[in-house]
Parts: sequence; C-alpha cells; structure tokens
Amino acid sequence: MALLGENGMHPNLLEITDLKTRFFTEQGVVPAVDGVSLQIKRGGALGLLGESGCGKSVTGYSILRLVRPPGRIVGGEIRYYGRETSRGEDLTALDERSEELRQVRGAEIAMIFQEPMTSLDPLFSVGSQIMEAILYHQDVTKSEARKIAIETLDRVRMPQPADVMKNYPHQLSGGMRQRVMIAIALSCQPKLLIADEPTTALDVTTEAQILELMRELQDELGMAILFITHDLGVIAEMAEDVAVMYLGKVVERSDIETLFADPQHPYTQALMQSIPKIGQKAGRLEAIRGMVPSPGNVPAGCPFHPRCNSAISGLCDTKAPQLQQTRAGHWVSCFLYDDGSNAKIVTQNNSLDRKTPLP
Amino acid sequence: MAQYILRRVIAILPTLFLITIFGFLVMEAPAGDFVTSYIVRQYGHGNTEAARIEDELRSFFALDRPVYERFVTWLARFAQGDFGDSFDLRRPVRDILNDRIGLTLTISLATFAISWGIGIPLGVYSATHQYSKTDNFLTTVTFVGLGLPDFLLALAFLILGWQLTGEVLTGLQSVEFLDQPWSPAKLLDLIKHMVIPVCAVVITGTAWVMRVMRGNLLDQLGRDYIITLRAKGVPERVIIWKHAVKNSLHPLIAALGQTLAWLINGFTITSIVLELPTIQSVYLNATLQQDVYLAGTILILIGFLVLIGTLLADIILAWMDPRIRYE
Amino acid sequence: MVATGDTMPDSLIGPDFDAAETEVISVRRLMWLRFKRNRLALIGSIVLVLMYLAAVFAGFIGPYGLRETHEKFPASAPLLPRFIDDEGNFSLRPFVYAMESKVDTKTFKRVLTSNTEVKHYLHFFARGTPYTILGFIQTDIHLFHVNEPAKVFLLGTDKQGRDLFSRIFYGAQVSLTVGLVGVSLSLIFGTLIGIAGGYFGGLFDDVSQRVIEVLISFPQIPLWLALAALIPPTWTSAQRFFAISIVLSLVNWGGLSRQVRGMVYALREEDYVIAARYASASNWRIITKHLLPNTLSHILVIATISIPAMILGETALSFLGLGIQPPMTSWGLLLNQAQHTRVLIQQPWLLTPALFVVATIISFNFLGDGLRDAADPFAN
Repeated sequence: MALLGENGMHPNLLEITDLKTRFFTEQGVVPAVDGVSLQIKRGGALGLLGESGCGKSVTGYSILRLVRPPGRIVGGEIRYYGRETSRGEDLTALDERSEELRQVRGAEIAMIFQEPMTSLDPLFSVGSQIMEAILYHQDVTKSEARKIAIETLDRVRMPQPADVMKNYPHQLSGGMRQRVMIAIALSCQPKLLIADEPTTALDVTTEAQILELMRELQDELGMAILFITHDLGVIAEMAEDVAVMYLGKVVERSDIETLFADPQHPYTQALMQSIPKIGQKAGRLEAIRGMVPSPGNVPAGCPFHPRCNSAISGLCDTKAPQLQQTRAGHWVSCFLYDDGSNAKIVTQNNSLDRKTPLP
Repeated sequence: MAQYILRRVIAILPTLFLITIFGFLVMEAPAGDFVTSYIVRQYGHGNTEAARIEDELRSFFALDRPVYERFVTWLARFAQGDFGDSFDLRRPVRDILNDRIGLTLTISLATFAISWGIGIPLGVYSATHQYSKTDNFLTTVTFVGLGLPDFLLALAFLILGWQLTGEVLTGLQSVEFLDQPWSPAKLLDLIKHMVIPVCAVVITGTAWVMRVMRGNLLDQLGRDYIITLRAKGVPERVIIWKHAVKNSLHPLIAALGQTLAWLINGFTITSIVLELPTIQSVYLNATLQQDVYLAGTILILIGFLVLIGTLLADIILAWMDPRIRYE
Repeated sequence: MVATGDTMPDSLIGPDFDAAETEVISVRRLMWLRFKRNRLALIGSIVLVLMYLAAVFAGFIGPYGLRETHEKFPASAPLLPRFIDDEGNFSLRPFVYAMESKVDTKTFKRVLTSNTEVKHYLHFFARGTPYTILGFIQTDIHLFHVNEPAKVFLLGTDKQGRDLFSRIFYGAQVSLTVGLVGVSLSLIFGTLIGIAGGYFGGLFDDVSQRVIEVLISFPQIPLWLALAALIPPTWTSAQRFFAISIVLSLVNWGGLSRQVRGMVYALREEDYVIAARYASASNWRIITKHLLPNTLSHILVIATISIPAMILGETALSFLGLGIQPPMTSWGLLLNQAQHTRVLIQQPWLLTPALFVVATIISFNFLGDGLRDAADPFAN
C-alpha cells in the first residue's frame, strides 16, 4: 500500500488489486480478467492496451460493476479513493443495484463506449438523455439541468448546442454521437472517465478530433482517464502510464516513454513490431504468430508461450510468470527477466514441437 | 405528421374497396342463396309452403337481381351507413349490430384490459429475472396457456362452474333479468355471467402478451444503451420502465392493429358455445344461412377495423419513435 | 468433433489447436446441438412422435372399431378396468364386471347394473374387431380386449354408444394430418409466390402483395367460417377433408409468402447472389442453389409454427359442424357432441378429445420454438 500524501489523501484515485472476473458459460468458465492489478493516479491517464478478447474492456466494465451475467466478479478489490479520500471504498463490495453504487456511476466515475451508434436510447432526445444524468446526481431543477446540459455540449465543442438538444440520436453522425456520449459522461464532472475504445468505430479524421477533445478536457477538468484501446498510436497520444494485457493478465506495465523506448515483454515487443514506422524501409510487417486463443481455453504456464519466439520449453509451458519490477516503475511478467531463475534463455522458436511458417 | 397520416389514409382506400368486394363475394359464392337454405330449413320443420312460393320469396329479397347490381346498390347504401336488411331476422343490419355492440365491447374490452394489464407486468418481471425459478415457471405456463383454445377452456369452465354452483352459466343474463331495466342486481348478474368467457379468453391473451413482452424486453435489455444508462447512474427501475419497456412496446403496438378488429371478432367460437349475445355469434348463423348483407357487413367491418387499426398503430408508433416520425 | 462440412486448414488455425480442441462443427450439427439443449422442444417432439404412432396404429390401441356401436350403452360413463373386486380382493390382472342395461319401469331411464358374479379379465394382444393399418395391413389384434358381454370404455361412449377412447385415435388420423396437408399446401403456394415476387419484383410482385394484403386483413376465424361454408354439402367425407385443408392453407399462405418474399428480397442484394448473377448463372440456378437453401430452414420453422393454428382451425370448424363430416371423424367432430351445454354437463367425458388437441398444440409450440432457436445457430 502506498504512503498517504499530504493532507491524508491517498495518491491514487483507483487501485485494482488481483481482480478476477469470470464468465460462467455453458461451454465452461471463461476467466476474462485473471488477477489484474492497476493503479490510476489522481488526474492521471492510464492506457490499457491489448488485442480484442484480452479482457481490457471487461476490466473497465468491472470497475463500474457493469459486467452482465453470465459474467461475475469472483475475486479481488477495486478501491476507489474519490469520496473516502484516505481510506477508500471497495466497489466490488457494493450491491449492483445499491444506491451507493448508483451514486458512483456517472457522478464519480463515468464511462464512454465503443459504439456511439447504439449507445444512446433511440426514443429520447439527446437533451433529455444528458439531462437525465444531471437530474439523477445533482440537486437542480429541470431548467438548471437544461442549462448545464447545453454548457456541457458547448464544452465538447458541439456546434449549436441548444438546437442539438432537441435532436434524436439517429439524426446525428457517429462523431457527433460520441460527443454527446462524452457530454453525458462529463455533465456531472466525474473524477475518473473510463473510455472503452471510444474512437474505434469512428473514421480517422473524427478520431483525431475526439482524441484532441478528450485531451483538452482532461487538462481543463483535471479528471483521471482510463483509456482502453488496441491502438498503439492512440495510447501514445492519450496515456501517461500503460498496462499491456494478454489473455486476462497484465503482462507489462510502465510509463509511456519507457514502454515505447524499451518494451520488455515478448508480446509487447511483437506488438511494436507489427506497426509500420515512418522512416523505416518498406518491408513486410511482422505479424504475431498464430491466433489469440479463446479466453475459455487459456494455455497452461505463461499464456503467451505458444506464440512466443523466446519461449523456454519446460518452463514457460508449465509455470506462470509473475509481474516483477525490472527497473523503477517498469513491471514485466516474463521468465526472461526472472533473475532468480536459472532457466536458460532460448531466443529462437526451437522450443516448439510444431512450427508453422509465418503468414 | 399530418402529411404522413394523410398519405397513409389515401394508401388504404383501394384496399378498403377490395375488401368490400371480397367480403361480398365470399358470402355470395356458396351454391344457392338464402332462399334455397330457407326452404331447406322450412322443409325440415315440415313446412312445404315455402318451396311453392320460391320465386316470390326470391323477388321479395331482391335475390332475383344479378350479383353486380345488388352489390352496387348495397355498396351505395353501405357508404351512407345503411348496411341493408338481414333476410333471416327481417331487421336492418345496423339495428342488429347496435343491439349487440354494447355487450360485445364490454366483454372484449374487459378481456383486453385484463390480459394486457397482467401480461405486461408479468412479462417484465420474467425478463428482468431471466432463468430464475419464477421465470421458468411463468415461461412454461405461457406455453401451456398459448396451447389452450379459449372455446375448449370455456367448456371446461362451464362444467366446473356447474359442479361448483349448480348453475349453467351460459348467455350474459339470467332469464329473470332479460327485460328488466339496469339495476345493481342485474349488473351483478351480468358480471357473474362474464366470469367464464372472460377467464377463458384472458388465459390465452395474457400468455401471448407475456411472451411478446418478455422476448422483446430481453432483447432490449441486451442492447448497448442500457449499459450507458447504468453507467450514468440511472436507477434500474427507471431503466426498465422508462427506457427498455418503451423500446419493447413496438410489436405490441403493432399488434394493436389486429386488436381493434379482435374487439368484434375475437373469441367467436366461445361466443357461440356460451350463447353470448355478441356480434360474433350472429356472424356464424348469418354465414350458414347465406344472410348475405348481415354476414358480409360484419366481415367487411372486420376487414376495415384491421386496416384502421393498423393505421392507428402506425400513427402511435410514429408518435413514439422519432426514427419513424422523421423518416 | 468434425462432423461434415468444411474444416479449416491447420495453418489458419495456428499450431497449437487441433480439431479436438477447437471443434469445427458443421452448421447442421450446431443446429442439432442447440435443438437438443432445449428440453421442452425435445419433450414436444417425443409427444408428437407418440401421437402420430398412435394415429397410425389407431385400430390396435383402441379395443373397438371406428363405427362399432354398442346399442345398450349409449352415453355411457367410462367403464374402467379394476384391480379390486367388490369383496376387496386384489387381482394383479385388471378385470371388468359385465354390465346389464335395463330400463327402469318407473322413470323410463336406462339404468346400468353390474353383475359381480363373473369377473371378465382383460386380454392383452387379443383378437377382436378386424381393422387395417395404413390401408393394407389387415389384422384383428388389439392392445387389450375383453370378452362379451363385458365392455371396457376407458373414456365412456357417445349417444350412439360408440367407444370414445377408440374413436379418439381414429380422429387423430384426421386431426393430425389436416394440419400437415394444409401446411404443405401453403408452403408450396407461399414459397413459390414469395420467391417469385421477391426475386423478380415488378407487376407480379405488386399484384400478389395486394392480394395478400386483402387476405391477411381478415382475421383467421371469420374467414375460415366463410370459406368453409363454401364447401358443397354434397361432397364426400374425403373430398371434405381436402377442402378443409385447402381452406386452412388459403388463409395461411399469405403470411408465409410475405416472410419468404422479405428474406429473398434481402438476399437478392447479398454479395454472393450478385456474384452469381455476374457469373451469368441462370435465375433458376440462383433461386435453387442460393436462395432456397438459405431460406429453407426459416421457411420450415415458419411452417412448423403455423401447424398448431391449422389443427386448431380444423378442430374449430369440425366442432361447429362446418368441417369434417361423418363417417370420418376428427377431434373437432368428436367434440361437436359436447357443444350443447346440457349434453356436456351430463356427459363431461365427451370433452376428453380436447386434452389431445391441447397436448398436440402445446407440443407443436415447443417443437416450433426449439426449431426457431436452432435455425439461427449463430445467435449468442
């Protein structure tokens, strides 16, 4: 546990410890989030990076307790220091339908989603959907709520906010709808914003505008952001700290500069190699070998070992590595950096029984 | 909106006309006519007189005129609200319908209100407690309910009622109240007689409403916007009733189109079995006796009500759903 | 395990996934798995199989023939086999007492008294009234039988003294097939017109759509009544059976046709259909190779779902005397005797065919529901 800062405030806004979220499907139990620990600083921006299906979105949903059945949080702690600034409170201990949790949702921690096209109720005007958030959290009259809603729309750089209030979702473009979603999220001035791939469904120009907007708003409002994405470019733009997830586990964690300068986990390294770089000679881009196994079928040992070029036979396929600090603030979960072990480092894929040529 | 309604009204006019022709022709189509079947029935009662004056009878009812001529004459009067006279009952069709519409609507509106009033909340409960014991129970009951034809249920209830009370509760009024003015005792008697038909029809109706409501609400509860609502801290009760239920009413409102016509043609066979003085029970006899104007008028009115109901349902949907309103 | 259909080449799946782990399953097998999971649908299918078997072997199951009358036992209450005699002795083999029917000289009512002196044991797989199965197998073996003068009426008799239990299974032959024949007819009509309208569009589509619109403007029951009244009363029982099937399908095909048209309309714009057209495939080929297979499972589901309504339609029409006519019988016609409340109250057993109607409808509903879920195996 970190030391308390000045005036007894905990330096982190949110601490996730050993979070386990599982989906109990008919085909078996899927450990979508398997022992994830994360810290988000007050006003900080943490990026959560990973391929689809790695559990990054489920982690985000778990914080606000939005995981739907058959999914369920089965272990760990999500300690929020926004209200009880020194002691914090465990969000996993709250009942899903409780008033305490309802007061956290939207007011303390807000969330925006991947699909702006379907994330708004089609039958209600944009204005009423923003005002709804305000009216359930603030002690204001309807006309005051309307004023706040228009201000918030203005703040997300919506042209003619008063007119847009009367519009229905289907009348707006994807970028506009995502602005509305951000306005809903910001209307109650939350201390943490969880952004779950907010630009994935948008075209590139709109994506740039929305990212720009979010960065400005973070500066203006001083809120913390948890930015969930599969896009290294987006993470570079948005995050101060990064956690890389693979099959429900955090495999590497550090600040953004370190991660880009010296990625240590073979998975992170492979991810970095799979994006084109300006100035590099044209050639074939490296793709990661094989496919992500289904989360219901996680390989034994290190989950990445079947696709890893540096896997150590007899070790990586039997034992699961733990997150270890390799330098100050840089954590990696890989036996390659396990100084206590006597395992030999194998650099090429000679440890695999069966090989397939790279595509 | 006004333009939308106008456009829709103009669009149904040709269909209305086709329905009129169809309704009239279906009633005219069987071999023979009312006089033929009348003579057969009189013969059955030992009356041979009717057969002798067959031609006179036919000209009395104007059945000696060609079909198209009778159709045009009748249609012209139909447009003015005069539906012609019933051959069998020797009364204007309009009066017959007027006599029966009150009780017909009393029963059908009561069943409609009860089945929607019970079906919607139960459907919502079932969907919001999916896979719970109550949900499994309700879903099974729904299935059974949908498989129980109302007229067979009515018969079963009739036997049950007789064994419990010793009374055979057919019709809607006991004999002693038939010509009495309305009084609390008469009203009570009416309610007593309504129990069997209403219960029989309500079971299937409720099962249907519940099933539709549950299915659609489950679909809506799985949508993305529900997550948004939860994420912004809206109470679950409001999410369900204000947002999800409103979004899942679509097919129920679309079904309202059929409901309008159902008010005068639902539970036809139950009406016949229980000898209820409704429009439905007069329709069967009229069909069998080729009482063309009476049966045809009812059939055409039913067709009209379906079209008007569909139009009304579309207008309500447009009013509720901005996506349709602004198309 | 790999059943039928295509499997992916190993290189695409990746090195560490053999077929056993990833289970490449054919669509048909996936449908079966989903269907099997729905327990109610499975129960429904079992009940239906039993019902249809019982209809085929009606003569075997019922102790008496379709038209066999027992003059001395009109409107008799069920005469059930018993295991305990009047002296309280238990017998493992069920037996009946012979009944004697007398007319009371004072009240002029028929009174049945049982002769408790002789026990008539039930014979299983015994010879009785001759009958034919499927029209060509002649036999006289019955599931159970009791020697004269004793009678066994599990569900009582009607006013002509015919055994209701035996007649219910003969009725099943009609009631269970009329829906299938009706559905087959509306499948043919509906699919042909739906596919033609959806694929070619144009005037044919406009006209057929308008006709369907008028047809479905009328609720089923009034239309059934009106159309059934069209059937000439002089027609034979068999002609009537087909006429009733046609009436049922006439009212039903419109809705089916609309759904098929909608699906074809959507599929027409699919890439693979457009590709086939660019490859100058004939319309016939596109329809039979691309459109039909892709709509078939949905069409069959819609058809299954509409069977209960047809069975109910036949029941309702025959119940009102507008449907099947003697000497044939059907569940609806058997129930026809229960239509008059005074009769019904004195002979409530006349309502038992209703239980068979209800069981059949519920089973078809279960089956249709299971098929609908299974037809969309990629949902969830």
